Amino acid sequence: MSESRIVQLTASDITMDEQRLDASLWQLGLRRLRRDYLTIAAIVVILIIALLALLAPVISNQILNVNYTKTSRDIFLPIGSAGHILGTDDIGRDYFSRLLYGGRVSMGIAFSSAVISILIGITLGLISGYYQGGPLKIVDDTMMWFITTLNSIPTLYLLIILVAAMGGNSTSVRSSVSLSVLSLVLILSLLGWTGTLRLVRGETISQKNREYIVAAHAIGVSTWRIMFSHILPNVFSVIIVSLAIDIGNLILVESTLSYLGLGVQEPTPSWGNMLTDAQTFFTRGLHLLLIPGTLIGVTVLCLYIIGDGLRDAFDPQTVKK
Amino acid sequence: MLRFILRRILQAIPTLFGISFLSFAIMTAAPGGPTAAMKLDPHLTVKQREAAADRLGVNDPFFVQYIRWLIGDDWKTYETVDNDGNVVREKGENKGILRGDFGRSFTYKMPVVDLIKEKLQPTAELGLLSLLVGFGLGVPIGILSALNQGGKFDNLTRVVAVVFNALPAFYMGLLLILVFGSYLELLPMGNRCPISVSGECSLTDRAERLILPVFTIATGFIAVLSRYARAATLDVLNQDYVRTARAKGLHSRQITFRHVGRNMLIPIVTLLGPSIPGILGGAVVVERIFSWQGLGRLALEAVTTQDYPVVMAFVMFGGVSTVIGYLLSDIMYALVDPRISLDAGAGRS
Repeated sequence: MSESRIVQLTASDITMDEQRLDASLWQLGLRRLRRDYLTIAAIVVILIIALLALLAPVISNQILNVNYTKTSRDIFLPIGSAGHILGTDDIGRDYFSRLLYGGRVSMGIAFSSAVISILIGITLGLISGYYQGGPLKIVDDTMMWFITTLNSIPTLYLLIILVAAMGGNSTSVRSSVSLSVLSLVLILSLLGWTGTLRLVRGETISQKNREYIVAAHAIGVSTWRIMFSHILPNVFSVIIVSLAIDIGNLILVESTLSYLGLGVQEPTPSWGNMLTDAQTFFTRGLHLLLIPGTLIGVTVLCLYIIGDGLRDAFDPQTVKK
Repeated sequence: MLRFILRRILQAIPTLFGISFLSFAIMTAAPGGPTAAMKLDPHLTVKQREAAADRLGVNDPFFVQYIRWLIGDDWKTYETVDNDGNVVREKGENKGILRGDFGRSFTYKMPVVDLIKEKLQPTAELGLLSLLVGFGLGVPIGILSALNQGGKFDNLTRVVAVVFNALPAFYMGLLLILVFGSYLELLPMGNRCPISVSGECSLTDRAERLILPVFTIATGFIAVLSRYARAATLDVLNQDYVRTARAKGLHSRQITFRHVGRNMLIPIVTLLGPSIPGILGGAVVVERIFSWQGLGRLALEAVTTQDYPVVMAFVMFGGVSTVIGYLLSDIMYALVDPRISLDAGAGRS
């Protein structure tokens, strides 16, 4: 088994002329990534969008001198109007600055929820995988029962019930949902970790009986240390690779929630809630419908491409086509 | 086989229990809780509100409330003092969700179960058709691209599938309305059944109105299924029995349909279970865009008006449907693939 692996690895090394056997996994991955032009292009696009979104306050306040929440009587101004690069929206707000801030909100929510849920997933996955099949397997069983339960409820239903519970506004006469960006991040990260848990648990189970773990046990290393400083580094590449795809999925989920009026609330813009009244834009300003949707699509597409590219580059198990 | 099905059903019980517990716990933790809505009702005096709160049992410990939600309270008698100081004894009316009673909707003032029954048909129409279209188009596309692996069709479908996956479903729906409804004026832009004098709508009209919403949900399915079907077909193409069939000199069409087609369907069967939450979630979005009077719209409405009994019933409905979907998937998988050992406990319930 191990011999055939070595043969396989060297065979693929020969095809890549500059690769040496002394390179680390990460170095090899980076080298492979450097040849993957599609992934590099996707990374560049994401970096540009992220940079624009990060600089949203600077661009709109200092350079363009517009306020993204200030309404005016100039509604549905076309692209290229004086003072408004992309015109204005249905209540006369500068559209370009709203897109920038919307990107900031959408990408910010997706990124932070992805990181939090991955941290939860790693911790619980390591614990669950480590105790699987052992004397404390009740821990693993409980965890698996919990995520089976969680996965049995349609995600959107779970999201809306959590939004109802956390954003329920019982003091106003006209009942509505009001939710801060922070609680939205919390809700998304509380629901997003099951995938990471399954991944980490599987990897942990395959690692925990290897010789180096047995050796660590033998010299009396503590359980927590085995989990976090012995097993974790070996399952880390799998997780990092899934991060890009997770962020992409979360952008989709956030935009859907915000579109439905259950996510980011006006006047804070997000790419999703900018489309809430999209059907009224059909005749008055098609770009108001097309731009946010295309931005969501392009961002998510790039993140998917990056995810695939990283997996091909860093996951030693996938043989490059 | 019967034992296998029975055990699968038994395995589903803890999951169902978990779903009910989770949805109840989340709703109870909601700030204000179910009595908050009553505070806004000007017709209620403080005393009446307290009596109602007592009746709802919101002051009881959590587990008492949960068990009452499960098994009801019609075996219990409540004592209340009316305005004249007389003691009034009333029997509880709730049967509990285990006996199919989800209480009454705050907004519609009618039993939640009747409400769901009423809205089920439009959503079922939408969901089943999307499933049909999704499997009907996704699987052949996947097979074709596997047979032309690396060819033009394969590359094209791969790109299209990734792009469709990257677009949110609601945006897909908006684009479809824009192109086919607003721009080309080919298809109606929404509404399941328009208001007419006779109150009935013709079958063709209804079918016409189904096309765009069904395709909105189905595009996601087609994208995912074509990828799975491609992988499954490639897997089968590499099997020894396909090589043997080729070596025997069988016609390639015969190999495709008899050997490859039938066997690649086996893993596809397992995708039926996960499709159900996809449909129920998709319905929420699509029904909003196409003003479809179904379950998804009711769910959204219930959340924004804080109609707690309806919201909780929804989560239970979604959970039970999903569990049943997985159950059916597992049973079908065991039926179509005789290699599946019926005693292996692995897999999800």
